[in-house]
Amino acid sequence: MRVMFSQTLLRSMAVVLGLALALSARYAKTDDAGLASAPGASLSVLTYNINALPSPVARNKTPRLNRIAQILKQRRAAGTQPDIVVLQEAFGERCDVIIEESGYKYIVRGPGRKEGRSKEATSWKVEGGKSYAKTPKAQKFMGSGLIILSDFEITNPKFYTFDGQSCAGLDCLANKAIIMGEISVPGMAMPLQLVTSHFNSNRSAKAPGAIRLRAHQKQTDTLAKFLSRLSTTTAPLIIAGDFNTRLPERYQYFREEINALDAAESCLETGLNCVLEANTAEAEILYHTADKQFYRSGTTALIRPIYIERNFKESLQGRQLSDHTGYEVHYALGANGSFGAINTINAEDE
Amino acid sequence: MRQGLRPLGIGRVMAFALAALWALPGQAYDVRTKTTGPPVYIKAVEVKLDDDKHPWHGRYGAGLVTAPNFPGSDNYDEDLDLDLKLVWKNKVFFENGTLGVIAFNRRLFRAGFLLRADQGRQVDDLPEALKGLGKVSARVDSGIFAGFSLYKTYITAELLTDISDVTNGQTFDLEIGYTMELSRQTRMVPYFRTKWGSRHHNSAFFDVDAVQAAASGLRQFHAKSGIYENAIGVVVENDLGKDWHFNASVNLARLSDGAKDSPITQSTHGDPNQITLRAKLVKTF
Repeated sequence: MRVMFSQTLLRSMAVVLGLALALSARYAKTDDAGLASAPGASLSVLTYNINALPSPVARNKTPRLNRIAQILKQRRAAGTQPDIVVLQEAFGERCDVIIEESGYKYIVRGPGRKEGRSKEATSWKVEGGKSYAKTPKAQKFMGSGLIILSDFEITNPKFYTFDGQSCAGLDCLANKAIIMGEISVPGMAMPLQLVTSHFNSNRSAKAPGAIRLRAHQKQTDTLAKFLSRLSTTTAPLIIAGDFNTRLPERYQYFREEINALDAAESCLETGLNCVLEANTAEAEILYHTADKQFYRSGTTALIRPIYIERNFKESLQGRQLSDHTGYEVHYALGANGSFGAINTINAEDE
Repeated sequence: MRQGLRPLGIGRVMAFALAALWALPGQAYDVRTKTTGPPVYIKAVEVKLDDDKHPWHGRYGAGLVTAPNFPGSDNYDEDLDLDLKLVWKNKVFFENGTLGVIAFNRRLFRAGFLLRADQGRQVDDLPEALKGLGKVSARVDSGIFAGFSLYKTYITAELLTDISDVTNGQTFDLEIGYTMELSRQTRMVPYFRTKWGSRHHNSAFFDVDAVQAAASGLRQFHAKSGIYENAIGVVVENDLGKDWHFNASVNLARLSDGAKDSPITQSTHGDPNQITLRAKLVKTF
């Protein structure tokens, strides 16, 4: 009897140990941060505007970019690196250190200065005057500044560059764009859709407020059109980037046009099993921020945020690493119905 | 006792191994745990959201213009100002009597060829006392242009020569302007423009030869080559809708050198200050 009991106990312990090992390793990164484990796969996404504007706009940037790369490298060594990183304002070769040092296997660069068809002239086009006085297309002096880094395979990446009417002031000099890629997340039956962009800035664009607002709304319209044409309703979608939605009228318009949930709002809602990092204030992730993440479940798979933090807050030689901080969200992914009656939005919902 | 300690069974061992494999995402899903190995760059492909634009675009419109009756005149007339611009693929354009081909088009520079009609000086536009000066026939100029633009600033230059054997002169026109966005609908372009004319060109409009002197009572005068006009101006454009615009402009020019010193300009019917006002409604397509 004792023998039988020991045998059964041993077998049970082996199986339990195996499953425990599996779960503990699977959510090793999130457990440290106090995450509640969720069924299915998980995914962490960091969006970070690294402010690597060309010199002399941003001087002595290289040491800070090196430090950003070093932090990502250290996190990888610790096994806590975000699965996906989307960078904005990654202009110039000096940003390559982040690609080279952080260890991400899959990289998608946003369009460069010459890529994409510039469709319309800028907002300051005047009909009077000589026909050849100004270029018929918007002048671009910089690329999009967008980079996606991923541990998981990215397939079928697509981009669309904003036209000349969808920018205001100095922002028109960069070839701003939307990028979308399909991420093959382990444990998911079909790839997750990831979209990133960098929308028109506000005061730093040096254009009248009404023109800045119009440009931002046109970019939002373009993103909505991009999503309606290219995103599928079956797979989950994450939209992460610097959307410059700090102004209420910008945020409101964006929310009305883009069919996705605000990860911060969802996380902070009562009853949802989501953790905010201890040193991250609610305002930092909600509305007092240009960086945002939005998500939408698919018809076959659900997604929800389980942890949010603002990171990369340290200073180097008395200066912040960037004029933005990192915005990292961990998502739980699961089959439809696995989350119960939590707030999710499907692509088919309005 | 020994019998009781038999192996767990292949099925359970495999289940354990699979679970352990799933537990190590770095190995199971090819996620790097170290920062080694070259990254795989995946090229993004551009997508199209809009239909291709028609190769033709342009504008048409009408309004009023107030301008000196002839170069150096202090008499002004109001006229209907018809506006037509046609552009094909941003390479060939026709704009209010000017036909152009943009042969070189880069981010900062554009250059090409121009063919321009000029109505000259009509006798009907001259006051009675100066009708003896006679007309300067309409002519066709051809030449080259270059345009430079950086953000909201532009510079244009045109070098033209008369190919219709009317003046046999050459002109050079240089303009610099800056676009100011006043509001969501309104833009303003202040500019400075200077014009140079060869001796033949300036003579055609500002000379008074013996015959003309006898007929008009003005003293004889021969204009030399040089800058004959400097101007400042402003163009204001207001969007009335997606395709409709109100366009107004003021050009304040001052004749210089031979053009200013000409007896035509110095006469009681002349003025070195030349003002042109335009206001029109245009529709773009």
